Amino acid sequence: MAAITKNAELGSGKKTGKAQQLLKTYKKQRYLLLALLPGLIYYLVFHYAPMYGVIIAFKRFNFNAGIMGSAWVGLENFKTFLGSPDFGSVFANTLIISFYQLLFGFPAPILLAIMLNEVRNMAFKKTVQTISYLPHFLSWVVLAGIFLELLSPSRGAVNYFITLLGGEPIDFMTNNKWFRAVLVVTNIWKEIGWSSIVYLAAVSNIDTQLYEAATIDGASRIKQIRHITLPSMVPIITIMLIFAVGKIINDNFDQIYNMYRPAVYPSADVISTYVYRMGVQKMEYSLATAVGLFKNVISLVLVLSTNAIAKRLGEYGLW
Amino acid sequence: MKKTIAFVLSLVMAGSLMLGGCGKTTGGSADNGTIDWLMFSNGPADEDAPVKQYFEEKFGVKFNLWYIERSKWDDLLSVRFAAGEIPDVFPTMSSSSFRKYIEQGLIMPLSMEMLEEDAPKLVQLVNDYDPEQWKYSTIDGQLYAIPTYNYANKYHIASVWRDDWLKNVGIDKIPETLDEAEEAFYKFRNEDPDGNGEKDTYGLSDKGIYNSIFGAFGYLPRDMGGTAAMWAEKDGKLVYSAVQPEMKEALTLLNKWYNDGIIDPEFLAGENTSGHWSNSQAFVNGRIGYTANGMFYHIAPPMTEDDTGSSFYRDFKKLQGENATYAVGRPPIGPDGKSGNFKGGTISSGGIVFGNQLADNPEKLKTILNIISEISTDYDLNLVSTNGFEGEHYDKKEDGTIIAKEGFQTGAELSKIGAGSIFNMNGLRPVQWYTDEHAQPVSREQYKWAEEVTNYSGIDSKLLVEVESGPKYNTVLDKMRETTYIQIITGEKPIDYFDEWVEEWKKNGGEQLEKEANEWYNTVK
Amino acid sequence: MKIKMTLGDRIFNTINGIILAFLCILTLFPFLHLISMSLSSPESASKFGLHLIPEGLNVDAYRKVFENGYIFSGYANTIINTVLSVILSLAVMTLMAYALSKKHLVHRTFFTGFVVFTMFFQGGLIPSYLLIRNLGLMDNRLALILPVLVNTFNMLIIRNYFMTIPADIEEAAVIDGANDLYIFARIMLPLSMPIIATVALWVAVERWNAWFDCLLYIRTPSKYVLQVLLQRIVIDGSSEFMNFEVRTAGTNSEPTTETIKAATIIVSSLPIMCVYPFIQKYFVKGVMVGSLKG
Repeated sequence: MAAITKNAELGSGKKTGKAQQLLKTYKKQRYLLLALLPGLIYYLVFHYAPMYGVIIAFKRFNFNAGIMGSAWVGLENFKTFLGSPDFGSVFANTLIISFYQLLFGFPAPILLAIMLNEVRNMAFKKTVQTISYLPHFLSWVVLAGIFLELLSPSRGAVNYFITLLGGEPIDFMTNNKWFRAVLVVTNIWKEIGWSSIVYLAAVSNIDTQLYEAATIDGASRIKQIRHITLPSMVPIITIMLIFAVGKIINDNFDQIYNMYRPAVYPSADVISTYVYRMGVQKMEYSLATAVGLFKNVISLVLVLSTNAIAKRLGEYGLW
Repeated sequence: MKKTIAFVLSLVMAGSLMLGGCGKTTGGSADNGTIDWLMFSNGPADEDAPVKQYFEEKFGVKFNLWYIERSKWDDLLSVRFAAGEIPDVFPTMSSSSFRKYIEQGLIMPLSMEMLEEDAPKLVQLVNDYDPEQWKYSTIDGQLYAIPTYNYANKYHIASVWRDDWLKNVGIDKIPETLDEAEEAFYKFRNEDPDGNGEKDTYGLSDKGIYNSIFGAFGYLPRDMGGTAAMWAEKDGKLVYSAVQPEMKEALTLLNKWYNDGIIDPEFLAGENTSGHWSNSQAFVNGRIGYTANGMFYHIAPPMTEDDTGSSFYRDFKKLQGENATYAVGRPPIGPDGKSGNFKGGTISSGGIVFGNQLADNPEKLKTILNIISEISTDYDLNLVSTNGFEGEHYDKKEDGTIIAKEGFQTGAELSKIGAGSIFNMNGLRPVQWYTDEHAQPVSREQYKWAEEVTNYSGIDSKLLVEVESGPKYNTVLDKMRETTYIQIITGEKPIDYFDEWVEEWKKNGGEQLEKEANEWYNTVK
Repeated sequence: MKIKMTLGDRIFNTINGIILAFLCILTLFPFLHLISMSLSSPESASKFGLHLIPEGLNVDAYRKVFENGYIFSGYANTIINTVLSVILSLAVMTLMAYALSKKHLVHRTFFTGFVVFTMFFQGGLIPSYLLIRNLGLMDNRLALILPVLVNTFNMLIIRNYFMTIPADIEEAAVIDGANDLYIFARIMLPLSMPIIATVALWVAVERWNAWFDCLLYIRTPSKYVLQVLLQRIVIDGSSEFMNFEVRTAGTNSEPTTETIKAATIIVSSLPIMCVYPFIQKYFVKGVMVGSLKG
């Protein structure tokens, strides 16, 4: 009995020591903690407080009963979605399209930022920057109509050039062989300027003396890009890449929904468009939440693994 | 890391407990006699909207006007439902949401006896149009809505021909049969109907096919919007149109047309490339000579002296020149004498419904029913509800034509003053008002014209509700149907692939849907 | 110091310039299309192909857009919301990012996890709506600002940028006895202007374009933001909403024309498009050098 008490005392004594030390750290870092406080309160109130809504995914939501009162259905909502005969094909389409988007769409703005960084004429540089970022402000509803005209086999400018070069017109918008490429290219076209801004911000911190020194040493422009510009972009590229990989499961609903036609369902029907047609617009809250959760869990796994790889390669991960 | 997750999870739980109980506490508005009123509208009404104030005074009530954006109707409304906010009176957007409202106990049951006593004029109005309507607002033997109808939808989509092209290729009457139509299509393709020396014209595109040509074989495979299946009656039973053997014949013909270049190869992208769904860019740009995409009022030429005609008419004249003409023909008659263009149908499942909180407040319900009755049957009140006040918001010409004043013309502008469709019940008005002296001269003339040109044979879906397994099977079947039809027309798959589709249809819930559809059909027959 | 350009440099510059100029042309034509569409007569809008030159000069569409009773209040609300959002968001986000960028911060892993977790698990629309209602923020512009105060992604971008700033710059200040907040305000912020400008632009654009939350939380039409108007005209304009009864009763109202849609898009997005050029001045090279020397 006595021994136990003694042990407990010892334990608490150890704890007090630890707690005191912690308290000391808190005090020492009080300004940092103070800086953190408004943000933490924000997260508690606007993210953690409403988070109980996630359970809708495991319930059959009933308006009258509310979130807590609705009946539990276990994994039924997930089964409805995963068990659908089309799940395999829409899941594959999502991954394939997103993979292409990542493969081609991710490096494009980095390349643009590097090219812009090499422009010596400031007026030209600013003009290019400003113009290239404009398409970001147009919604896909509007752009879909524009691309339909541009890519039309009979009157589109693209096919005009193809025939000029002796090729046959291509029905880009309704051909399963081409449609994914159309999605990737149009998305790059829309976002390249906008996405390059963050890389430009990173590049603008490079000490100009480095370039001057390299030039004196006779390093070519390509060499300068490789040894000065790129390394300075690595931290931002890393974090952007981590999130981009996490987004592989998230298809671009606005783009695909506005651009696709039944003819390209086989190649372009993705999770979000499919679920949308499944009736999420018809107040299927539980199903929508389940699909969202499914995607987010996959996304989380992807982000964590990419982060782990990134940590091993460099020091700029999420953690 | 593990600790982190555990801590975060416990925080989540705490958060849930903190706000979980608040799921359903307060109602929409405290019951102080204010009526929570929601109708379709093109914009919000001002706080002090004159039409609202007029009705408040007239009926001795206060209105709390809801505004829900159309494009996000279900999203926005269901969040408010989930928060326990339910309007006292509102319209149903679709048969599926009507069913959902009932299942979830959001709306109150009605009884004929009560309606006959509290709103006899309204009952009369519905019966005058078609007493059958009540059946479609009744689910499992219980009435839930005051039925509304869409009068214009009794007419089918118009069959629009380039009659100047027909003359140019030596055809002097508008084709009536499928054979005649086919002849015209081939000539449109091959005999340069626009005389520009280039082979750049086609017979028809997607809307002509899906809203009209299939009809010559007795069925239409899908509805106007291109997403939902059509159901037809065959030997007293409901059947899924897109698996009927006649459709195989239709696809055989269409495949031939496609191979012969009669169908615009860009039909897959659609002849409506932007803007309002009733527009056909391919037609107004002189690429195709036949379309079936608009209702009579979408394509109407000028009806009276100061009528400018529909935007379709104006676009066409502007792009094709003043000498270019189009004419409306009948849906082509097929080999077995069948024909039909798409028709929306006037009756729908649903209507005007009442929040379940009114079940405990019969007086309020009575007041609302009275307001609806009066606005729907008293022409002067009705006019205020749509257009505001004469002299202030509009002027009236001698022939009765209403000229809206500047600033009170568009739907959003009218909504601002409380007019437009905020108090005007969609589809609740005496049917004669559409065609007698109550109607505007232009639309009176348009209806006369519609009677003439778009009242041959329309095909509407006979299944007016979403059956129970609908959400489960329809997405898969819709997708399969669309791709199969396209693949057969374009020759990517042989004609016999149709039989495979029918098998797949059966396997993927088709038979179950048919069973449930007929169970419902038996309740309304 | 002036450095002579080599031949290789010149070739490089030329090719680079040509590619970039080409890209500009590619990205510019949708705007030409929209602008000329907005200036054309409604009848010509249905014409096939892109409209790069307006047919005639018809400002009716713009007149119509500006006649809309809510456009000016919409502008005012959007501008106020955007400016408030940018200021508040950046204040909270930079402070938070600064604390999280410190490797020695106590419980750093936990705090980061706490923040990142919310990117993957959200409660959804209904609980958020109830929350706003319970906080009494209904019909209040704060309901459009507070829930999106911190964007985790943006905050982490700022944090990572802070982490790339060499520690020795700070250490000098620490030796001088400055506290963390002083270092943050006097050293970190000025050094991080490029990323702060970038995130400010992100927040501004995101807020400018937001409309769904306004439909959800705002009841009074005079408090609506500009994009609600755009949404109504561009999306709703394509579906038939004017019911036939109303038409029959007199107003010869027709679907919104494509020209009005184009004009609305231009009117509602032009101001925010013009923000970027003002932000570019923060992207000038050599910021760091200057501050080091100073």
